[in-house]
Amino acid sequence: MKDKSPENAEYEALMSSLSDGIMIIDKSLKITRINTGLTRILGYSPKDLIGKRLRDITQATNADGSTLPSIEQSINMLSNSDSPLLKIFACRKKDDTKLVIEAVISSYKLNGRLAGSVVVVRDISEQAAIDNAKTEFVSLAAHQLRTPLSSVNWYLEMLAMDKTGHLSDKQLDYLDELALANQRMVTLVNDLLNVSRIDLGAFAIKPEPTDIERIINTVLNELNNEISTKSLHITTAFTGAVDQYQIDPKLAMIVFQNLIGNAVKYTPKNGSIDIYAILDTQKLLITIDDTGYGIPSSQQEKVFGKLFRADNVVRRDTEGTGLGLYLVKEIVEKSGGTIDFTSKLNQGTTFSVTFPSGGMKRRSSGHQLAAIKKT
Amino acid sequence: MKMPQTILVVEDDRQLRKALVSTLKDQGYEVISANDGEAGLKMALDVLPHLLILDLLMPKLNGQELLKLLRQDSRAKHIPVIVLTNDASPESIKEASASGAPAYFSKASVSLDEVLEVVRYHLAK
Repeated sequence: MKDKSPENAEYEALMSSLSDGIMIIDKSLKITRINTGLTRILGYSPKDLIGKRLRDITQATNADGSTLPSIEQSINMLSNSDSPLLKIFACRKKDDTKLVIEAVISSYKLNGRLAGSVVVVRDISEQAAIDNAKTEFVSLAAHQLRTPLSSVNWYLEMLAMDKTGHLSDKQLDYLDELALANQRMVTLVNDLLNVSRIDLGAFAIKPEPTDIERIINTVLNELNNEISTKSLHITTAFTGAVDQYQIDPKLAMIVFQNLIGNAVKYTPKNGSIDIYAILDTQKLLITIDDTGYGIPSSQQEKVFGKLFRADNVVRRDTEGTGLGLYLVKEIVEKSGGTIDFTSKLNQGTTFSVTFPSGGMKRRSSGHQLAAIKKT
Repeated sequence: MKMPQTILVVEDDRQLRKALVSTLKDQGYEVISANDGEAGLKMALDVLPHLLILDLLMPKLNGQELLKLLRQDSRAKHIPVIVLTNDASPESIKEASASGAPAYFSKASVSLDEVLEVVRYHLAK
């Protein structure tokens, strides 16, 4: 280590001139080396850090304040795989100011054996603050848009009510189209509002005893027009005590409206959709299995991203906000569940959602998400 | 002839207020309206309408406060109240129903026809 060869001096100079922070962590998770960038970002001196574990120094949380597996756990997870892990954490500097950092964690080997991890740390507090301001703006704008949208809805309805004079079939047809367009806008605004609330970490989860079968049937009723127009064959089956399951009924509605809505929308005529809910001592498993267009394998990893729409369906149908599955994944994961899918092009897609057998994880603080009323 | 029943609409957004007032008038109801909570409360206690349609987020006195004060008045506490709002947080729903609002709707998703149905239901009693 104390080798003062020219190569090493050059290496040391390079390390200390980097703006990113670098720390080397050994197998016992203790910090063994750091560069100047890291002391600048965290505000801790090398003396504070070397030989310590990170969790002894600062408590890291998710960017929205929720707890997360510690950096150490992430590093442990990494020892089993070779690809680097990218994590965003919120933590505090030595002087207690808040900090949002992006960490890329890679394992390194010496003589073919795992020796420890290299963590590259970047201060993204400023970007995070800008991101937050943007999200707050979207949230505010979406909220403010709802009142004029309600106005448009109501005045269209009044025109169609015939109290203002008789309208021709053509005029009524055009009013219907306007109402439909407006309803799409309401859906989009509600989706945007929900996404922004989720991104701000501010949505409440309030589980109460709920009949899963009833929720799924309500969603199927809402979609009845499209189901019968396309002659889709729907099968549902419920196993276990799913009529008293602890779930937030509004969030469950959003989840099922999106998953079943997608299955209906992206399954061609005469196709079938099977919906199963099974509650056992381990978990509640809900699967939604369709014989639809499927998701191209090249795009499957993007499915839960914001504004994602698969190439094969964009060509068929220009509607859709691309926010639905992002919302669903966030709701499911924040309430202690998991979501996964398998899909084959032109054969179909199966989404599986699980929740803990005891119900959704409660979170009291935050806004209620807006219910999506589909047309 | 039967006297028309009186409905008070308390809503600060002019366009939504106008839509509600016109639609209810077209159905033959006597309709009065206020554009903030303070004026709404005064009108409610002066007129004692048969039904109240109430927004929650309003200047001066919000809908929740209006509802509470209304329920403290022995002459007004029985008046059925339909809450129409865009603030559908679980807290505000709970608070409104605790103060005795029998119906609660999100404006972005309720149609005037559905509002009329609930109005008829409460006034037929």
